[in-house]
Amino acid sequence: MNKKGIILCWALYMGFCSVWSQEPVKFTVGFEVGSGFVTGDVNSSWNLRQDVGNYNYGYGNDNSLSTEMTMAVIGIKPEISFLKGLFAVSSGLRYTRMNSTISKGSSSGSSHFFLKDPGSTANTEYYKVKELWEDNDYLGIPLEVTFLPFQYEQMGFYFKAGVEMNFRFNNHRDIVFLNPGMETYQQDIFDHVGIKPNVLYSTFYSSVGIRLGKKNKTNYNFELLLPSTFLTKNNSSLVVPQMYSGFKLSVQLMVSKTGIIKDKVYDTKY
Amino acid sequence: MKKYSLFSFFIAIILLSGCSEDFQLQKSVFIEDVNYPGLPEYSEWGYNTFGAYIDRKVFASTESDLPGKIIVNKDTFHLILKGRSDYNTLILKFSVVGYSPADYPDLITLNDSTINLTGKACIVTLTDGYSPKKLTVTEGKLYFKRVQKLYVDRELTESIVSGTFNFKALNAGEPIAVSNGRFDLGVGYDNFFKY
Repeated sequence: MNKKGIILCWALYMGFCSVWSQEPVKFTVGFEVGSGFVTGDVNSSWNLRQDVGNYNYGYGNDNSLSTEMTMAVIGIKPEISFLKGLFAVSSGLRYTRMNSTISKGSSSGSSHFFLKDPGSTANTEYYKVKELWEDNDYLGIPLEVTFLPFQYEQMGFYFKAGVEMNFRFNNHRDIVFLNPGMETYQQDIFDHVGIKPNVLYSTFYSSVGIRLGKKNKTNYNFELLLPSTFLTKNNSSLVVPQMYSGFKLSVQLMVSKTGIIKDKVYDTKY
Repeated sequence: MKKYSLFSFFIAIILLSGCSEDFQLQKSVFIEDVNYPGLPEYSEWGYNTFGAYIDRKVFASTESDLPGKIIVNKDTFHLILKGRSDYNTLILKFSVVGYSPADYPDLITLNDSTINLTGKACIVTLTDGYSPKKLTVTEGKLYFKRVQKLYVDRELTESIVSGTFNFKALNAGEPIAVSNGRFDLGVGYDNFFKY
């Protein structure tokens, strides 16, 4: 960081401290649930017999595969708001399950596709596969800044930006073979493909939302995630994600309203 | 009597399904080569495609025509490529005298082998419309880069025959150049014939 950046950060910090020391702050705890939908392509490490994004000049002979990647989120986030609720900073703990699948496209007439085992060298080994899927479970820490410029009696509109860092604690993946007798070769195929998802997963996201409820009471939030980006790579062994969006619902419970004036602290419990 | 006929019908269905490979494998997967527009990328997946430029025109496989057949007749091996060029159906046939594999798994003997198309044991024929014309090849090669057996769910299903070809020839006195030829064919019960 250059000299100007350091001075700017210091000025902002001093500004916040100055304002914070004069204005009452509000401390809430939020519980959130949400879902996200990820756009992405098939990870090319998997040798799949298909049309890979190029034209197919036949009629009704679509060989394409479809990928699906979704996120389910549940979390707890303490939040501190200040400047009469104009800004809020929150952090906490978040559990995310990321599910990704590769299956035959809906326009295709057949139920299976061919997965090539990269371990076979002299000859080619295909397996008939209905679906490939993977679940990754993460525990993470988000850090969010909320700007709530429009506040009315029982409603407010806000913008939010955040980053999160997540750590994978569980991974489960499966190849659903058309012929169940091929299950015994599943681990060999995983070993030959060799790819494993990243232990870390991080995103930068922004959202717009609506907050319902009176100012110092329990609030209910509904927010839409704007197209957001992944900061880490290799977040799924099946899909190469590009962007994601989604929605979140949360409820915020008032814990305390605190004012700090001239180094004297008073608490008002609600 | 009805019971016997029904039983025979089911037996016939089972036998036929055993002979035929998966229909998905017979389909063509055409992935265009960005460097050579109109031609499929060179591949070794059994994508059932082929393509070449005949002078400046594209001659390539289609979804509706069976792109490749191998016929072994007495001691002669024929590789037949059927496709279209400018909406006309063309058939290019390479015939090699003195090579006669017994069945499609034996095609692996062709792996990494080159056939000189100017040799006496080789005949190249081009059928445009209904009349096959024997080409007088002046230079060129047919290269079977990789021939491999394909197993699906651990059962031998077909042979994948992949390679390239280039040649210059006289077609009814007019010189033509066939360039950047490539093929990737699954050859199995349905398109290997010996008689």
